[in-house]
Amino acid sequence: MNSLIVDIRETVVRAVVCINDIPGYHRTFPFKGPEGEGGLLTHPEGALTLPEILAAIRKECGSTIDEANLILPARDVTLTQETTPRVSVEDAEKIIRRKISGQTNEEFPPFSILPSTVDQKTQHWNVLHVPTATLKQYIKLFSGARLKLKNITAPLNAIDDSFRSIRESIFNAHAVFDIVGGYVDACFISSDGVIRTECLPYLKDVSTAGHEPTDEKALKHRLFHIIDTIFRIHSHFQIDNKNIPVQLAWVCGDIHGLDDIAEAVKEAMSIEVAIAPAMPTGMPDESGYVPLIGFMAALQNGTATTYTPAAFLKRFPLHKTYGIAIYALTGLLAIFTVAVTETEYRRLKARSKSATAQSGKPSSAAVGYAKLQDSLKKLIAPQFIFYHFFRDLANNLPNGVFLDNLEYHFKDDKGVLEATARFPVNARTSKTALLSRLNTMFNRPPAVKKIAEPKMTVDTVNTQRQQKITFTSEVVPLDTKK
Amino acid sequence: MTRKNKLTILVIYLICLCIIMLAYRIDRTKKMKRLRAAIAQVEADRDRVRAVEAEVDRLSRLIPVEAGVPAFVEELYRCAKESGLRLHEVVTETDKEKKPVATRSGTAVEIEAVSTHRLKISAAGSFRQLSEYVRRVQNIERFNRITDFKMSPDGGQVKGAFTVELFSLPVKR
Repeated sequence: MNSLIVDIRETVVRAVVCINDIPGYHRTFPFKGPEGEGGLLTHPEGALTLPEILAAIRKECGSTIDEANLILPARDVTLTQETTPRVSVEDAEKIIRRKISGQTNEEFPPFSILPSTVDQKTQHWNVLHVPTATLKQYIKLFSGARLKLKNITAPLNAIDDSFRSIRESIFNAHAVFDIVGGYVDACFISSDGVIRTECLPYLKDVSTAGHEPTDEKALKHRLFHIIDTIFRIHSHFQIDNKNIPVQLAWVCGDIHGLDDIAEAVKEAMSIEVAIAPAMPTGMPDESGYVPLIGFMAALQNGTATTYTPAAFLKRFPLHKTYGIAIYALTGLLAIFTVAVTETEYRRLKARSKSATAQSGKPSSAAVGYAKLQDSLKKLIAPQFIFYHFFRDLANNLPNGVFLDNLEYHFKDDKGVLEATARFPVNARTSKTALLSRLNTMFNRPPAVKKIAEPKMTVDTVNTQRQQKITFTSEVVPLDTKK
Repeated sequence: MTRKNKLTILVIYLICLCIIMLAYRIDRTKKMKRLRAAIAQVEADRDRVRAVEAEVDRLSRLIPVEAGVPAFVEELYRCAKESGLRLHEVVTETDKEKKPVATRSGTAVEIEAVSTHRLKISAAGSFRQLSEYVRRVQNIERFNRITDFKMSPDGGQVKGAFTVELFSLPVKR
C-alpha cells in the first residue's frame, strides 16, 4: 500500500510517499497558504496552493497513492493548557471533553490531550482541539484532489510520536528544534509528556524561505538568526521552568548546514545537541522530515493520535439538533396523521348522521314499500286465459268420456283447477289409452301443471259400471310480455 | 445521560409511537369502514324506497279509482247476450271488502286501501257458449279477475257459477 504523508507549515509543505511502508519520494514545496486572518500576508517565491502541491506530488511520485495522511498546520489546531486533579487519562479526557463541548457546542469535539507537568495534587495537560469543520474542509480538499485522507494529526502529536521511543530515557527534559520554512518550531519533552512548545520565525521576510543562500555571508547571517531564535526559545523555557534543565537538544529540519547549526547551538547554550531523528531510518534527508517519519511510524505501530469528525451514526441521533429534529418530525407526523384521520372520521360521522336523519327509518320504509309493491303486483298480475283450455278440452276430450264437474278456485295467489271425468267400464274401451290422454290434457306444463295424483273410483250408474277420475292441476298464467 | 440511554429512549419512543399510531389507525379504519357501510346501506335503502315508490305509483295508476260496478254489470250482460247464453244472472255482494295492503301516507301519492267488489254470476248454456262467455269477460277492458267458477252438466247443457272481482283504489293525489 502506498501512502502519502503531508505536513503543512506556515510557508512550506513537506511530503513523503511511503511505498509499502518504506519512505521513498519526498519533497518540500513552498506553500501559499490562506491569506487574511491566521494566514501570512506574503508568501515564499514560487509558492503553490495545496491542491497544486497535491497534483504535483501525484505527478512526481510515479506511483498510485492509496491513502493520504495529514499533519495539520499549527494555526488549525487550538493548543490550550488545562489543569485537572490527578486522575487517569480517561477521566481527564471526559472532564476536558465536557469543557470543550461547552465552549464549542460540539457534542463530539475532535481533541487529544498530552500530559504536561505534574504537581502534588494537580496534573497539567496540553489540549489539542481541531474543529470538525476544519477536518471536513481538509477531507473535502483532498477528495477534490482524488486522494482519500485517512488520518489527520497535529504537529505536536507528530513530534511526540517521533520521540516516543526515547522518552522513557529522558531524565529532565529534551528540546526539539524543527527548523523549517523560516520558522523554528520548538518542543520541550520530558518522560511524562510535552512540557512546552513555541514557534518563532527566524527570517524577517518569509518570501525568502524557499531558497537557500549561496554566499557565505548570507549563510552566516541565517545561522546567526537561527541560533538567536533557538536561544530565545530556550530562554523562555528556562524562565518558566527553572527546575527543569534541558538535558539534550535535537535539531532537525529541511535546511542546509544542519551540522553547523547543531555545533553552534552546542557552543552557545552549553548543552548536548543531536541531529534528529532519534532512530535513523536510512531515508535520504531524513532530518528534514522528522515529524512525517514519526507519524508514519506511529501509524504503522497503531499508536498515532488522529483526529476524525464524529461518525454520522455516532452523532445521529444523539446530537441535540438531530435528536430534536427526530422527535419533532415524528411527533408532527403523528399529529398530522391523527388530524387527517379525525377529520375524515368526523366527516363520515356527520354524513352518516345526516343520512340517517333524512331517511328516518329507511329499512322499515323500504320493507313497507316492498310489501305494497308486491301486493299491487299480485293484484294486477296476468290471469290464466281459460278460453284456450276450454277449446283444448272441447277438441281433445276422448269419445265416451264425460265431464261431471269443472271447478276453479283462486286462493293465496294460486289458481287450482279440479276436473272430474267419467267413462263407462267395458271390454271395448281401452282404459289405458283413455287415462293417458286425460292425464295429458290436465298436465301440460307450464300452463297446466298436475299438483296431485288423479283420484279414481268406480260407480254404478243405471246398472252400468263407470270409472270416475278426478284431476287436480294448478294453472299458471303465461307471461305474454316474454 | 449516556449515549446508550439516549439511544434506548429514542428506540422505545419510536416503537411506542409506531404501536400507538398503528393501533389508532386500525381502530379508526374499522370505525370508518362501519360508518361507510352504514351510509351505503342508508343510501341504498333510500334509492330502493324511491324506486319502489315510483313502481307503486305506476302500478296504482293501473287500478281505477272508482269501481264502476253498474257499467261492468252491463258489460257482463252484453257478453252473455253475444255468447248466446240461455241463462245469465249477476248479483253483487253487499259489502265491499277493503284490502289494507297499500297504506302509506306522507308521500306524493297517498294510497288508502284497495277495495274489492265481488260479483256472483250464474249462467247456463252449451259448453261452447260458456267458453265464449268466459273469453269475452276476460277481454273486457275494465280490470277484473275470475276467482272461482264451477261448471257442471245440466240436462245436456252446462250450468256455471262464476265469481268475478273488481278492484278500485281511491287515491288522494
